[in-house]
Amino acid sequence: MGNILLFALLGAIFYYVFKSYAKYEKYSKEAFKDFSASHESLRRSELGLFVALCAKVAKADGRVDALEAELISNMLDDISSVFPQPQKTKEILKEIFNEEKNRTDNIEHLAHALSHATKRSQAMQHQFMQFLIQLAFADGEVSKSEEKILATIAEAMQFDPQAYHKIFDQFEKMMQNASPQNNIDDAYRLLGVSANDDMATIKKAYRKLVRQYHPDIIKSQGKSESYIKEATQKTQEINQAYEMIKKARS
Amino acid sequence: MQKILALFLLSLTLNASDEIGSLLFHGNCVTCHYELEEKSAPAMIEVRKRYLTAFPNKKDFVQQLSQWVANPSRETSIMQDAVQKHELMPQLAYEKDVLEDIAAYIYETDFTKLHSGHKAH
Repeated sequence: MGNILLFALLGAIFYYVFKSYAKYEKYSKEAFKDFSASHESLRRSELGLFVALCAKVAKADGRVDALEAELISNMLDDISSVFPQPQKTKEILKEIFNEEKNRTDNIEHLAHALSHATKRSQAMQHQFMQFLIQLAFADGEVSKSEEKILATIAEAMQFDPQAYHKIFDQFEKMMQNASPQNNIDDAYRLLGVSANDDMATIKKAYRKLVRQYHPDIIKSQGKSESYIKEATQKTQEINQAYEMIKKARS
Repeated sequence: MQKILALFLLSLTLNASDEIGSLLFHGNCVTCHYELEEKSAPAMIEVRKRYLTAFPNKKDFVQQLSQWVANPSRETSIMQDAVQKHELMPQLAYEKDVLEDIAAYIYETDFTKLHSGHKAH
């Protein structure tokens, strides 16, 4: 009985995911083409190429920090959930991520391949670029090395420079506007925890909120720019609140 | 039924934190600490073995390893031979909770076996 309900629940989740996904013809075609997800087929697909480029951006400053890891983990869940074998797909995507983060010699090649794989959809290219830029901003500011990698990717993708700078400026403004929590009480309130809670509880709440608010590449397909903006801003605020609490307690 | 659902949800959250540890470990530590090979620093299986011997309990393991990495010192090292050979590990200014996530991941992961984030050979 339990199992049936569980399957029904999972079924409902997949139905929902596929339903929202089906709007994007190219995406769903790709998903079915990759029905038996293999390392090679995933690596060549636009989502595999995108994950590889995320690895370059995340590792650009030499280390992967906590928020970057959270965002990447969410992204891998998000992307693999649209494949028929999510668990297997996710493992392969992680392998791709881990292999690619240590290489810098193939950025142009990957970006070029991504551009080719998505040439029919400017909107999708735009979305990918936006996510890469967002990832670079995750730790609050974009380092020189991150900026260089982003520029290399944009150029190899033949991404419209004006559109690129527009996205970049938007995020910069957003970071400035992300209203820092005035005091520690606000920080606790934002995370929905109390000052008496232990760090483990607070961390759990933080992770849950990041998962809830940060904009996903698949889930935000077709959503308005303002959705992504708001979600990014909220993610920043959640992170700042968490940082503030950690600092206060250390 | 509720039990099953609770277990299901619990396994999801457990996986999530394990995964952060995995991403952080593979995104940072392996630059110097290869999993199975000793290069510019001791191999991770060696570090894990020594810490497991000294601190078999997960809580101690995580606490000791993360504290030492937060503040490496010759005196408190349980791997004197490695410090002799490779010099003291530099202080890398990672946050406490990041180090704890990584230490927990190391405790749980048998690097000689196939594990998350690794390609089957």
